[in-house]
Amino acid sequence: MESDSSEKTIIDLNEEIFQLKAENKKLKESLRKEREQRLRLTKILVVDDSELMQEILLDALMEFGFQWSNIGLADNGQKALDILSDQAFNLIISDWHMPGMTGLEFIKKIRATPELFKIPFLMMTSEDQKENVLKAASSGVDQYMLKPFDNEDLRKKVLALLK
Amino acid sequence: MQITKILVVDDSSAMQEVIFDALIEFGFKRPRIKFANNGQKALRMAYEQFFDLIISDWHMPGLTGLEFIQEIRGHPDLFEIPFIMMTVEDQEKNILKAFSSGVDQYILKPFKIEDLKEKILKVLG
Repeated sequence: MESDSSEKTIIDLNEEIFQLKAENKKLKESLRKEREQRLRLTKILVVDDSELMQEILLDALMEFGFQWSNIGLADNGQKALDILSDQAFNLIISDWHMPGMTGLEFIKKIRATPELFKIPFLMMTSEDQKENVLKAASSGVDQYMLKPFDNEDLRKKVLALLK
Repeated sequence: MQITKILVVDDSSAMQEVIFDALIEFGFKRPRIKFANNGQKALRMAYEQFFDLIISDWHMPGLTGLEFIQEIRGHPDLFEIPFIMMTVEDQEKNILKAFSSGVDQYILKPFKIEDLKEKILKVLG
């Protein structure tokens, strides 16, 4: 008799947990929708002299839920600064080695410009030497990503920078 | 498993060590395991970094595990992080309170290492 009632309790408990989990799932779904909405409105500037790399990044960002019309493209730091002078962006993803103004000169300019200094900056490069990574960090780079990169890794870094 | 980043939240350093050893044994990587000794610190770390999993104690000074999960589930960027609550709380109403706050898995202390592994694999899908 007693064992019957305790068994029933476990079943009831599991049933309640199941329902609570379902409610939480619904809640997560609505938060996910809100985030999708937010990502669609987020503006990202991609700076890379390689057209192939621009395309790879554009594809990845669209896969993450960003909208292509909100992604700006520039092939060096100077052009990126020109674009930034009349459009606001929520995030900059930049290569290091580019003809004209390099990514390092570009981030230094960004961090020294009052209207731009707060924009999160992700440096994407094949520079893996410690002194260069440190140089980027001390210039104000928020996140550093080595090429070739993994899409999931990029997604995490981008979302972390937009928090 | 190589890149899974885990946040372990417990005010007992002995418990932190037990969990750390278990995680290493399961194949997770040392630099990807981070610790906090209360919910407040853990929350700050979650804002600044990206975690794939949180394993948290319930009773801690400062922000408790329950308050911590509520903050996580209500945050527009953190709400999806899988969360395992690890506690001595075995009362039905408290277990339900944890689940209604959004806990994915619940594990009673003391626990068997294999049970922890099973729950981790379950939440990581």
